[in-house]
Amino acid sequence: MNTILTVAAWEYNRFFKWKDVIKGLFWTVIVGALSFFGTTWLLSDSLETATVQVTNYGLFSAESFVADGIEFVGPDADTTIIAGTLTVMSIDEAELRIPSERAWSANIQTMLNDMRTDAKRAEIGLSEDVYVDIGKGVALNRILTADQSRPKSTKIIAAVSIFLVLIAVFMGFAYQFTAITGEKTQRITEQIVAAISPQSWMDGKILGITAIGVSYVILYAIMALGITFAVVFFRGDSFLDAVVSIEPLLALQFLLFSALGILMWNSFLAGVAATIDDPNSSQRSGFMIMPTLPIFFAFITLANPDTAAVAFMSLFPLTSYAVMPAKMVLSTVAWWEPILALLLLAVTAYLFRLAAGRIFRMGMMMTGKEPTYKEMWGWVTK
Amino acid sequence: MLSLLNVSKSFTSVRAVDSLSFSVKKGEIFALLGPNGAGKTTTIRMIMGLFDPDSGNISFEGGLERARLGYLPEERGLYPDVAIADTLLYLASLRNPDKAGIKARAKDWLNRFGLYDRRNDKLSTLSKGNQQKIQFIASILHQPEFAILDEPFSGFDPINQDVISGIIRELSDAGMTILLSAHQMQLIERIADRILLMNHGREFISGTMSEIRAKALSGRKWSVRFDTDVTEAALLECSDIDHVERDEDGAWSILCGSEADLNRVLVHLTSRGRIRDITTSDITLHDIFIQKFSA
Repeated sequence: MNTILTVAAWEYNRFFKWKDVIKGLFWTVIVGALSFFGTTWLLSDSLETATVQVTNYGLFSAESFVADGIEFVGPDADTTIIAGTLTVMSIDEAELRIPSERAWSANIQTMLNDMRTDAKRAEIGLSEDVYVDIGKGVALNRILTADQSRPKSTKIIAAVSIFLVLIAVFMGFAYQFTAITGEKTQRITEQIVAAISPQSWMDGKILGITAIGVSYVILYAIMALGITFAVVFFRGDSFLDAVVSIEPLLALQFLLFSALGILMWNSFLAGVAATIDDPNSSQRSGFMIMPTLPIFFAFITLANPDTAAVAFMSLFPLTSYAVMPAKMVLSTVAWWEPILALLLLAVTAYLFRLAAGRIFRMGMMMTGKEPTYKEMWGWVTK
Repeated sequence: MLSLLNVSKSFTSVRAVDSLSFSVKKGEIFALLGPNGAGKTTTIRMIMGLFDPDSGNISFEGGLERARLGYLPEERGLYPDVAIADTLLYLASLRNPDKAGIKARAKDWLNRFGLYDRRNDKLSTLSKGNQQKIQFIASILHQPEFAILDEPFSGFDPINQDVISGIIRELSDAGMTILLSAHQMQLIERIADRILLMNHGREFISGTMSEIRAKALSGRKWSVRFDTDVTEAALLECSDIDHVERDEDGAWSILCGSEADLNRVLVHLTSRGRIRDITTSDITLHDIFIQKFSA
C-alpha cells in the first residue's frame, strides 16, 4: 500500500501544481472578461438605431411607423446613411430593400403585422377588449400527483457535477497518456516495475490522477458555488434561501457518483493508455470519446426520465455516473437505486483497475507494436 | 543468492534463452558475457520479473523481495523534466521507506560524482555521461542486497568506466551481490569473481577467469611486429592461426589453437613479412570472446 501511495503522491505532485492552477484561473478570467466585454460591445453595436427610408406609406399614417432600434424617415429626407428602404404597396404587401439579412428586419415585420391587425380590426369594428379576449388561451392548471422534482439549485448542482466529471475525465486521459505512454517511450517503466509490481504502479497512477481530477472538481465546484452565491446576493435574492435549498445528502451522493465515475474512467483509460505504443499513430485515442456518451444519455433523460432505457442506464456502470444524478433530480428514485448504482460503479472501477494492471503487466515491454484486442482479452482473463 | 534452473524463453520464432542454468553466490560479482543477441538482457529481465520464463525456475535465496534488488536496465530512462534529486528520492523510496537515509546517501553519491550542485537541475540539462551517472546512482541508492546491472559501463568514457568499475568492486566488498553484463572485457576480467559466457541463449562456458582460461583456450597468443606491411587476410592463410587482430600500435595479436604446429606458424609469419619483434602474452577474456564468437 505504501508504494501505491508513493506512486500516487508522485503523480499528483508531478501534474497538480498550484502555480499552474493559478495561471489557468488567471487566463480563464482574462478570456471570460474578453468574452463578456466583447459580447456586450457587439450587442450594443447591433442595437444601434438603423435608419430606414419609407418610399411609400401605403394606407398607413407616417406616425404609425414605430419599431425598436429603427428610425423611419420619409422619401424626401436628406440622409446619407440609409440602412434600407421600405415600400408599402398595400395593407397585405410591402417590400424591404436591404444589402443582406439584418436582425432588425424582424421588428419591421412585427410592426407591419400589428399595423395590419389594427387596420382590419377597425374595418370590421372590433373593439380592442374583444380582440384581446379572443386571443386569450385556456388556463390549464397542471396538478402533479407524484412530483419528485427537486429545487432549481439541486438541478444546477447535478448538471454542474456531471459537467465537472467530464472535465476531470478528459484531464485524466491527458495525464494518463503522459504518465503511462510517456514513461514507456522514455524507458522509465522498466526501472519502476523492477522495483514494484505492475499492479501497484498502475494503482498508484490511477489513484494519483483521480485525485487530480477530484481536486479540480472540488476547486471548480467551489468557484461555481461562489459565483452562484455572488449572483444571488447581487440580484437581491435571499442568500440564506440559496444555501438552504441545497440538499446536503443529495450533494454528497453527486460527489460520490463524480468521484467513482472519475475513478472508473481513469481505470479504463489507464488500460487503454497501457496498450498504446505511440500516441501519435495509435487508433486507440478514439476511446477518449467514450466518457462523453453518458453525458449525451443524461441529456435524453431530461426529456423523459421515466423510460425503461433510462432506468437501465441509471444503474449500468458505464452510464450511471451521469444518468443517475440526472434522474434523481427529475424523477422518482427508490432509496436502493443510487446505492446499487454506486456499488456497481465501484465494482466496475475495481475490475477496470485490475484489467489495466494485467494489460500493463503483459504489454509493458512490448515496443514497436500494440497488442491486439484478442491478446488483451487473453491477458485480462488469464 | 540467485538460482536459475533450465530457464527458457522464446519470442515468436526466436529462442532467446535456452535451458540456461547458473547460480550467483552471496557477495560475489557475477558477469554475464556474450555477443549481441546472446540472451543476456532477456535473462536479466526474467530475473527482474519483467518477463515470465516459458519454462524453468528462477529463485532468490530466502525469497528475496523486489525491494532488496537494485536494477540498472540496459535501456536507460529517467524523468527528463524533473529535478535530479526528486527523481532519485522517488525511485529509492519505492524500495526503501527510510527517506532521511536516502537523502543523506543521495547527497554522498552526488558529491562523489561531482553533481551535488546540480541536484535541482532537470535531468535533460545534464550531459549524456552525467545522466548515466544519475541512472547508476538510482540503481543502488536504496542499498540493495543484490544489484543487477545491465551494461553498467555503456555511455561512459574510459576514465569513468574505471571509476564505475572501482565503485562496483567497492560495493561488492561492502557485501552487495552483483550480477552484471558488459562488453568491456578488460573491466570484467578485473572485477568479476565468476563469469558466464553465453551464446544463442545457452551457456557456453562459465567459472572464474582462470577456470575459463583453462577450459576455453589451451592455445597460444603471440604479439608480433613486422617491419613491412602485412594484411590480415595474408596472416590468416595459415590454417593453424585461429584469429589475428591489429592493435593501435601496429602490433598483431596472433591466436593459435592448442593443436597448432608452431614451426609452421613461424614459417608462415616470416614468409609474410620481416619480423621486428615477437613476444608471447597471456590470453585475455577479450581473446576468448573474439576467438569463440567472431565466427
